[in-house]
Amino acid sequence: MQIILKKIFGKIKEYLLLFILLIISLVVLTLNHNPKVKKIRTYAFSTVAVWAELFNYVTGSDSPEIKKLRLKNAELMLQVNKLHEYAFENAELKRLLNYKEKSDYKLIPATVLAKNISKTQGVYIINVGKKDSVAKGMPVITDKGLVGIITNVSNNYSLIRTLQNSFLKIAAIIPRSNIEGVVKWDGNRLVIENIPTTADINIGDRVVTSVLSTVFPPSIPVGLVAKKETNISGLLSNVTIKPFVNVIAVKNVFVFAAVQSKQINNLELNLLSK
Amino acid sequence: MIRKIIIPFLIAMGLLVLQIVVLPYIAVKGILPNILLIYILFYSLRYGQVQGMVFAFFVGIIFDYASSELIGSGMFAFTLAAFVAGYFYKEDFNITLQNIKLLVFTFLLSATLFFFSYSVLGSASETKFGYFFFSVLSAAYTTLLALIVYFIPRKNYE
Repeated sequence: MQIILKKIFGKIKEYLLLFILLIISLVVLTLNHNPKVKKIRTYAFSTVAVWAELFNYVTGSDSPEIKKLRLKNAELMLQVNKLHEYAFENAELKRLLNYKEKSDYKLIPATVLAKNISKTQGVYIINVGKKDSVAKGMPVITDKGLVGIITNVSNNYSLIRTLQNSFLKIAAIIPRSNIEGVVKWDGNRLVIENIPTTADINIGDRVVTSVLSTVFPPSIPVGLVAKKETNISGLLSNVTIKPFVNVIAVKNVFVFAAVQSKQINNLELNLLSK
Repeated sequence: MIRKIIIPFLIAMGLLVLQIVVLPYIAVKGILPNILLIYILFYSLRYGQVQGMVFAFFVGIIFDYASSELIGSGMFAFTLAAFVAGYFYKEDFNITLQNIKLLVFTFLLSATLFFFSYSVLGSASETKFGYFFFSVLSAAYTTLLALIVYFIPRKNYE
């Protein structure tokens, strides 16, 4: 009996080991939201980030003048985008001209140190962290538009989940026609799915983050409508978005120092519970 | 133990840093080779399936923590690729290295499996089978890079 078992084990040991290791991997996949796992990840990416920063230092960096101009560009981009929206809402807002709005944008400049370019898991490391007042949930932009969101922060570095990550979903709006939708990455392109075919959407329409988003502040540019494809039913369409930012090539970014309001979230929760 | 485990592990850590920091600069339209995968596949071809899979598993853990969104996706993909590559293991590694057709086939097959499973596991999208074309392109780019390494002069392996 022992000899038979030994013989069988000898023949299948590779398959058995493969099976065991793959099962362990799948089990680990289910533990991704465990706080201890997240803590270990923070330490790990911080270590890699140190090497990445050294590499970036050796290969050269931009002058302070260029960094200042980039920051100015990004602030102007946000201002211009706001002006776009005011143009659409002008008639309605005339009565509300006296309302106050804060227009000081706190932007924290950062450099991308390392990139995990994957078809579905776009994750970058940047050289700012807790000591620079960066927090989880802050959007990351360039002077052209949205890049992603901060998902993990250590003292000196942060992880960004980019637009090319299938776990990032953005509540967005097309300001021209007030069409709301959720922008997501499907592995090949940014897309808003299941929009009614009769919705007023044209190629070239701007897409920005929506006020309904509890993750992103409103009016951050996302992209332009590139294509509209009708589903087989004919009732719904998928809209392809061409992002303003070339995410793969991005090097210098800004962390938008704004996080979701707990007060608003609590109100929404209260409404839902009624 | 030092030659088979510790030194390869240290080399893999160095390659991991290169993969995350340097390699994005040579990406072509989002297609990126994986030098860590190249090393793991050569390791499997040299030492066999069992050792290759165990090595790939532990390197995959560290790769996931250092670079990825989903812990477990790299572990799964590297282990699977090492299993396939280790199937073509021969006792005399020099014979394997001289057979360029076998090397190309092994790398293309293993790398395609790696990129496909890595993409599928890391995706929340329903259109998972669309990643196959991307996987083939990434595998081809990785194989090309592996062949460059192949042409570097080296000693005969014992």
